[in-house]
Amino acid sequence: MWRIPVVVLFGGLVLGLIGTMGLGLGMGAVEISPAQVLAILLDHLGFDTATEFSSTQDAVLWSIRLPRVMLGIAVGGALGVAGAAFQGIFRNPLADPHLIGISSGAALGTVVSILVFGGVLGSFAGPVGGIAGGLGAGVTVYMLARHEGRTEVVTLVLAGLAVAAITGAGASFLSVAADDARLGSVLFYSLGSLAVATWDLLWVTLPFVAVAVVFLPVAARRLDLLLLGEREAAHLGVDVERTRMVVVGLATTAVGASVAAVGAIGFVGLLVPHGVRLVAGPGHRVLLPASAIGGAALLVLTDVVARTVALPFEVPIGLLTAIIGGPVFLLLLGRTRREHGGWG
Amino acid sequence: MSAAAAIGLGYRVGDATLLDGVDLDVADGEFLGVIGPNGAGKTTLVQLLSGELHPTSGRVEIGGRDVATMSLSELALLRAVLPEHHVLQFAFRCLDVVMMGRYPHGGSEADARAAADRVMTKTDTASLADRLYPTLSAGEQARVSFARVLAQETPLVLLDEPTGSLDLRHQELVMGTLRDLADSGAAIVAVLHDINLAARFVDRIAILDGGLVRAVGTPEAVLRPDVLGSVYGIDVKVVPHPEVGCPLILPIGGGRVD
Repeated sequence: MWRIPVVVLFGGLVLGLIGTMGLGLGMGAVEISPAQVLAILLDHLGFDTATEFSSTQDAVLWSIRLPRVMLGIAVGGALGVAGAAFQGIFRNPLADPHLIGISSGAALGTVVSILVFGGVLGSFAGPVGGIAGGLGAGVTVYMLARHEGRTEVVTLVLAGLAVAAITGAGASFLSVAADDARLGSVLFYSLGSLAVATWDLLWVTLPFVAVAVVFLPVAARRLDLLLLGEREAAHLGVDVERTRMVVVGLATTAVGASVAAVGAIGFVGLLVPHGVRLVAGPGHRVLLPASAIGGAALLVLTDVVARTVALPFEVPIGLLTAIIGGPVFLLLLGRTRREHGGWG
Repeated sequence: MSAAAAIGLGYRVGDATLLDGVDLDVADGEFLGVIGPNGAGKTTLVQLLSGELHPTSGRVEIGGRDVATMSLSELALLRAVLPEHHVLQFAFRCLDVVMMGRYPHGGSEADARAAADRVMTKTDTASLADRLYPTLSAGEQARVSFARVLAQETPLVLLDEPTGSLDLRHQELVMGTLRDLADSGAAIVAVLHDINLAARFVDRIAILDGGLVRAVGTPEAVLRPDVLGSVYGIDVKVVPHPEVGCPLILPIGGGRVD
């Protein structure tokens, strides 16, 4: 069985990420050439270059596009690595944080937290509430979908759908009823947008994502063994319960903080790990970091499309990921059904 | 000294008693076969011996220590377990699967690779090394899982139906490998359905029925028409194997619902 060498995979992913960052920084209503992008970045680091740029270009790049691209990297990385982790822990290739209700739970948690604790926690009210809401939804779906040591494909997706419907509606209802400027538009949490990006928002989101991206790979071997089966993993010395708590906790932390920042963006956590598995196999030591980088690149690229495809309007990014991800999900669902022999 | 022992071992779920006061032990270098009809408690016995289930009465000792007091990682160095069913659906290469058996040893990738190569040669699975596990037949998957269990290199090996889905040649190969393993000092406990296969390879047979040990001893001692007849509810004839002399079981009728 042919598989792409790990060095080539990571080299390609990093180059892809750098390329999409270039697009994200350069493209838009205000054109900034790659040379100017570089010159402005160097200028902020204290180096002078011969390349000329206007103060408008400088302001657009440094205050708008750079935080937006960086936030896209953080959120895309979070969704990619969390998708891979959830699929491993549920032993189910369809477990996307959005599809299994964790994103909507995080949205509800974020709204409630901002309304109730906004005064006390300040800008951390969002991520803290998002993480708590995501955990609540995740635990609920998990308990509903687990049966005899495994999670059934359809039960997982249906339970996720129900939890997502309830929590999503709750989040939207509160947004409308509270009419609070801190919450933004009603659709924000259900479709997502990186337009809210600021440096401040990046700094309250990044630590939560970084914790997951750094520490999830520590559990990579144990996640591999879990795919053998929970009994088999325990026979090999893996503390299944503890691994599950740590992995779900870390992945939900990343997703919760991401949803709090930019709303729920679906399918990234499904598409990216699936693509990585196709070329590099299911081993989590490669899958987790590769999904983080791939998720970052995919989200930055999708965001470029979202804000340039219908100028002067911006398309909600969650719509675009759903347009690509939905059909892929259906394909995967059909294949999983065949492989599991029925809707098991 | 016994490698593993069940002492007054019982397991109840609700009103059902799956295992009731079982006393059984296996010594280092011994191959113990466990036979019995469906629902006799064979799989429950393996799950209790492995520490996977906790007994509701009695205890299990491995290497003289109560399993209930041992950590999962300690146990993983002392006993390996081959379950009856294999559930891996992700596209790992078979080599990766076998290397997972080395996890408890925590050695380097190269050590794991060397150990995997060794057991894959021994179990005739080397040709499957680069194949993807979910694409294999049930029998091939069982052989790769068997190789994974051997890669764990533990003094005690517990197997639930290791030959169930195998062709004749690979049944012989697996049983021969287990025999060699026992001869080199390991203790083996295997649940087996094929009594004739068991009779040729094991040192002792335990017959389980209704959660109780009905007989335990050498194949010659326990594979008697009266015992088998009452346990399985059929009439059998036992003759000496024409080539190797061990008991050969020939069912001759009686398998009716009455």
